[in-house]
Amino acid sequence: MSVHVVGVGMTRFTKSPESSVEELGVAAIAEALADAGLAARDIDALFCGNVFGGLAVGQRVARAAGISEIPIVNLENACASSGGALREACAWVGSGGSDVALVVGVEMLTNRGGGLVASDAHGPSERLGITLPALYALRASRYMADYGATAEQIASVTVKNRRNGALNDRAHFREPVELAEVLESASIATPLTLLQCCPNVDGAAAVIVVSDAALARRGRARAIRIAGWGMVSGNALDRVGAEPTATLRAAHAAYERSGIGPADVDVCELHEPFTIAEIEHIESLGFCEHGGGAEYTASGRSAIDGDGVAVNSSGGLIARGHPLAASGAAQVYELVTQLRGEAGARQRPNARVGLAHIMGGNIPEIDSNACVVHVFTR
Amino acid sequence: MTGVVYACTTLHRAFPGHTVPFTVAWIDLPDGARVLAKSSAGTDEGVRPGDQVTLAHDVELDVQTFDRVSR
Repeated sequence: MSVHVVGVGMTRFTKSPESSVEELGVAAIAEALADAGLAARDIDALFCGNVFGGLAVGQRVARAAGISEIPIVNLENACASSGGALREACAWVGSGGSDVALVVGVEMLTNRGGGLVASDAHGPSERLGITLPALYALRASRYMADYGATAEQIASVTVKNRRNGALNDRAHFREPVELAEVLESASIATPLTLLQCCPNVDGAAAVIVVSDAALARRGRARAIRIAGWGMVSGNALDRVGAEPTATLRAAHAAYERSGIGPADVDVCELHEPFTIAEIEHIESLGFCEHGGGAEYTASGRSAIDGDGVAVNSSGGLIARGHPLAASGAAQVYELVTQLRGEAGARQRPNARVGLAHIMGGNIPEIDSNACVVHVFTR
Repeated sequence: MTGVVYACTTLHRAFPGHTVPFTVAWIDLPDGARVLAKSSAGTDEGVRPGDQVTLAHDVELDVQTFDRVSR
């Protein structure tokens, strides 16, 4: 039994504080249904990822979209919420519980006041005043000490992703930036500067997945197969100097299940709320050796026209913006668009294999709340 | 207690109630534990991974604090 993506949709990710999860969710769903050539009545299960919207966001979005009388599951795993919702949808479809499942990721962030997103308010680090960018900055300081990477190399992630975002009409930031501008922007947590942090935005994205039987009824046109997946939650890091391994473990599982290796991947959307994350993740995903991620990025290998894996061709979290729970589904939107060959000016030529990586973490002593990897083939 | 800096950063943006800038570090202890601590001076932009530090407990703030000893 395979699971196939037949429709994707997303709003532009940007600051729209007057909007609502219902309005954004309905817009993303409408585009996904039209893309799939399906109607709301064809959907037989809904999986909704959201963090800050309150209770029953899936039910509220479904009501506004005219979808009823189907099972609805709400899922919160921080930034990995809609990546996890896709995993649940695939599990239902793969086990015969659903033929045509709808995944929605939706988030309203800018009506919360903007600025720093709250970290773990209940943990032992709260009194220190640790922030999410500071957690990544700590990793950057260690990475630079271990491998001799420079602040310029790390900041080059922003230059690449802003260049990609300028080619994506769904991205928040549509203008490229120069390296000097990135380095000279306000310091947030050394060595990370403001333009190395993802912007808080609002948005929604939707994905429709179907069974083999439903695909046969509908036809295979523009369908993308989900070839494998991995999903882990974080190990405790507060003892014996353990290293974060969530990405390694989730990627290993996805490669094992799909029979696809890192050398086969053409396009990758990964979780880079801060520049250093992209550099470490391309190593953990196996695109280059450990310690090689900074050079891989700075030398242009992960650009759309580079000779490596095209990483975050959408602009990623840094340019597209990061409405927490919506980002995982937006990654699928980008990969499906690339694998269909419909990405226009940002198309990686002949892209055949895509990998989505999303993780959520807000607790310093845990190696991410959850990490989800999916592999897609055309 | 002495330890070695594993990683460090100086925060220039923080939540309300925290005065910036301030420096925090993961400190590796001899028994293998790793703890988050704040510079006793508030800010120490010169601290680097590998530096030796002493650890103390700030009773008023109820947080661990570190002081740089040597590189």
